[in-house]
Amino acid sequence: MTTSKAFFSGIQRVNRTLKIIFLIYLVNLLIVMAFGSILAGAIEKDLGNSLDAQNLRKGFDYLWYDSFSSQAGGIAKTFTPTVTGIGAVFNGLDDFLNTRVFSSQPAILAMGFAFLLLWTFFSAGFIASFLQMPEKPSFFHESARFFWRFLLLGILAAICYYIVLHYFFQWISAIEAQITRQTVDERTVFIYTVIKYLIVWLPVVLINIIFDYSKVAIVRHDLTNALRAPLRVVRFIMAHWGKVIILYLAVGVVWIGWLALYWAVVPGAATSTWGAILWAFVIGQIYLIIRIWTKGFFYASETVLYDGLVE
Amino acid sequence: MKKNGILFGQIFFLLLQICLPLSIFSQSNTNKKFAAGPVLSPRIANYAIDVKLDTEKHLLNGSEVLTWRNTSRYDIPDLRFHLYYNAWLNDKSSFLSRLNSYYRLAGYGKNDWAYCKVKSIKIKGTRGWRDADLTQSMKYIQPDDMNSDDKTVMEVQLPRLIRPGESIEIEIEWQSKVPRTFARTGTIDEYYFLGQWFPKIGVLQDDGLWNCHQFIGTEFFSDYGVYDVKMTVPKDWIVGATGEEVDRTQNDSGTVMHHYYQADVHDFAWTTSPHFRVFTDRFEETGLPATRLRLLLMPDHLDKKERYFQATKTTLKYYGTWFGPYPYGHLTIIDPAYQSRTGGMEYPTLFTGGTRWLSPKATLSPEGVTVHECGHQFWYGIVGNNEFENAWLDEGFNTYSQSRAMEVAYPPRTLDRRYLDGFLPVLFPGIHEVYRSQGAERFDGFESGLKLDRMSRDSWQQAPGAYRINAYNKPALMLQTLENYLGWDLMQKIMSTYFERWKFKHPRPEDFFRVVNEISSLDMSWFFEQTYNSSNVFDYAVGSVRSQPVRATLGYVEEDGLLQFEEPSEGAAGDTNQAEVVPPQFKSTIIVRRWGEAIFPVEIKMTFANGDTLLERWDGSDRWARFDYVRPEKLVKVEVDPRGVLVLDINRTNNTWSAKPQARIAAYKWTGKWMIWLQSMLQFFTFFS
Repeated sequence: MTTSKAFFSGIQRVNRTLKIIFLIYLVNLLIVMAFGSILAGAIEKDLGNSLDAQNLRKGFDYLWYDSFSSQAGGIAKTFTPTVTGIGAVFNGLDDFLNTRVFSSQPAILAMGFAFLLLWTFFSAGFIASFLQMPEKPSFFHESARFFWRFLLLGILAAICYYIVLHYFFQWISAIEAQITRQTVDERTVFIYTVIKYLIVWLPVVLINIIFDYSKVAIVRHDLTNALRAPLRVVRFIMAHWGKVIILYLAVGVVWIGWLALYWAVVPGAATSTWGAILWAFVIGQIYLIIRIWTKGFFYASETVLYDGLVE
Repeated sequence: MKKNGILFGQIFFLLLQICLPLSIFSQSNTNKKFAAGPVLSPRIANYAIDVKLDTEKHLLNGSEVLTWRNTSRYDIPDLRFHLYYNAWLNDKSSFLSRLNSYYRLAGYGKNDWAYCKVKSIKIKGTRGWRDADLTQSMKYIQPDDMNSDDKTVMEVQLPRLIRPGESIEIEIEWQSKVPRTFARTGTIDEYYFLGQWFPKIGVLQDDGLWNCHQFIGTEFFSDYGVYDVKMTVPKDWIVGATGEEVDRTQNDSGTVMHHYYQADVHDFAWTTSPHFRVFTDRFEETGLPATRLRLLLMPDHLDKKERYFQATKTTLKYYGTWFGPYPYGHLTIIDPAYQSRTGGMEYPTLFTGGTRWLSPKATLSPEGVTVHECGHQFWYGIVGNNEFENAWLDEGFNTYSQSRAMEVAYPPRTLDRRYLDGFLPVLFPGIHEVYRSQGAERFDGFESGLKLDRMSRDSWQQAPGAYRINAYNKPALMLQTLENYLGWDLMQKIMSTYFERWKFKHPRPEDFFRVVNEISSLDMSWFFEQTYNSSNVFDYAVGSVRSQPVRATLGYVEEDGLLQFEEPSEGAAGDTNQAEVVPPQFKSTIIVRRWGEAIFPVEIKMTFANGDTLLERWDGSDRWARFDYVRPEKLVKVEVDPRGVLVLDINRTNNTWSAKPQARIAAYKWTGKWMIWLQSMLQFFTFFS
């Protein structure tokens, strides 16, 4: 099994699960819509019959925003003009990279963990669909069958992530701060910052790979002890580390490509007609669907690689 | 007789004021060479300083001769000095004990703390004084907060009273340990920015009392004078300082002495680093004096050279034209070192800007901070108010002036957000910050903080969180409102008169208010009473609007002396079964309200369906006012304060009303964008699945 075969077979197999991907997208959309209606209501109520609405419709109105944000509470407090365009993705990505995502508002954290749980449930269904099996398994049956094992595995993964993203990140950040404390050239500090993120995120990616393949192994071998799967997978990764890493990076590059494309086409603040507003929303939704597809693609290509290399 | 005596005394005092500044520095060779220009200021506190920088130990070993004159009408028994670096003596100082919650001192090492230790203080036997050592009489005093741990103000007793108009020469030996850069002074790596670094005498008020506040967190106040300063630093280190370099001497010890001189300023700051790259330029504008510009740039900002120069020239041009010319002929711009926390600071003939390595032009960095700090050359440098007590007189004036200059010279700042620990900026085209003339900057803080305190309270005593609002935001909005109310031509005349009248002096708020009333020929006390002496807020709003067809009368109508009963017409539309009058008429009723406590006259503009507009004027004093119209057209738009005169209005959203509200489409548009952000955010969580 070559990396390229895993890559392209991965695309074919993830494309077989488009309905499920769309289902996950719908759940994602519906969860957020509930909160979106709260924000829309708050903005609409604040604007009332004011002419500020015209400015906000045509572009943005900083005066209104300053006033609105000073009074906003709850989820409405998270609204900033930087959610427009690529900021919608970059804001989250930045919070994700520097682990600020875990200090989000409780409502967002709760939504995030609910969505994470949903993914944990669907993961087994995905992986089972991606495996070459004599009989096509039922997606939801497999999801339910492996859920508790995946949940156990998820708890173990969470502990590992927590150690790296909390303690290790803090430790590395303190070292970086100490090293750069007397540095007066921003470029040098920037290089240290990039190194810091690489040092932190390399083990995170490694943990991610181990637990991705652990899930594949659990489904592939129907392992009853989920906690032993990572040990088994580590041996597999060490034996095929080149292919595993290249495949992971290749799929990661696909996501970066989608992101770049989205950046190129996403409309900014200057959308004023219902059609243009809808179009901006639809483009965003297409990106989000592709993002879920890419997540599925990770699983699919990894499943193909594992399935092809393991005895 | 008594009257004549007072008059004679006043004349004598006036003569002393005029003659003494000219004679004070007549002995110094340096000053003979450079004091040839006109005397611009009273030259009350004059310093000859010799300081050596020890870059290994972060020490300044200095000696200074202060020539000071008693300009009050009282005999003075003592002198008071600021020793600012004692604010970093330990965490019990008034400055650090208040800021402890905001600044992390945990990472402070032994080498980061600071002090200013006066080793000796003596009277020189000149000007009718005998040599005397005052060192034993030194004591730290705490005139503001009685915190005995604070050692930022020192008092010495004189052997005899110093008479009105009399001068004294004081010789001080001192050592200052330079703090790690903090509150815009100190050192980091091989970069020093040295502000408030030497023992500096306080200001003796006309009433014979010292104005010498502890360093608690505000900015500063000192008298005008001459600074003749020799700074010795390692060879190859670049120096930038208040004034201009007179000469330079290479020492055998591998150091260089840089000799700077500046007259008619009220402070002296300097910087040194081997990292600086030096660039020069020249400001020339018809009708304004030329100014030599010297820019000390850090290596990571070399591409910002032209932007720094351009912003400086913009400031000198507009401030010079609007308020009065910059008189010194030279100006030094310092690009502060990264993470030095010394950016955005003003000193006479020198200021620090600030920018980032990656800073697209649309972010207006360094332009914004450059215009602001360069603007302080006018409001702070030339017009020298007391920043301890009336910080708004320079910060507020300058924020107002800066916005004006930026609005004329630059496009609005494009919104950006910096990612990856703030290193990588991403612009959001189409979203621009609002100029002050259109409304409030930092409106959120302004609104929520406006009621924290009144502007008239001394700056150093402002309620927690109120200093910035009452020093910067509110006064700038107050001045903008005044400009909108009086018109720019009149406002410009007020500002330039105030500038001319109070340059090289220490104005108080009342001095500005007097100029406003005098130049405008109006009594604007009602305005300042509300904005300056009160923390009340302005908030005018459209309360309610109705614009409905006029219907035929229902009920009894008197015709020819008889009461006729009008029946509802058959098939008439509407709940009341009343027919609309022909030709159709609309009755429009508008209620406008004053939600805020503060009062300001406002205009109300009504726009009708055919485009006709009506402008009403309301003195705004009642809680509400009602306007009724019967016209053939329906009312479609109401605007309270349509020209945006009252930029102090804390909520402009409620100032307008439209018959065709667009709140829903606006809300959906931005909610849609926010939803994409949240959806994307949730998807990042799945990385951990």
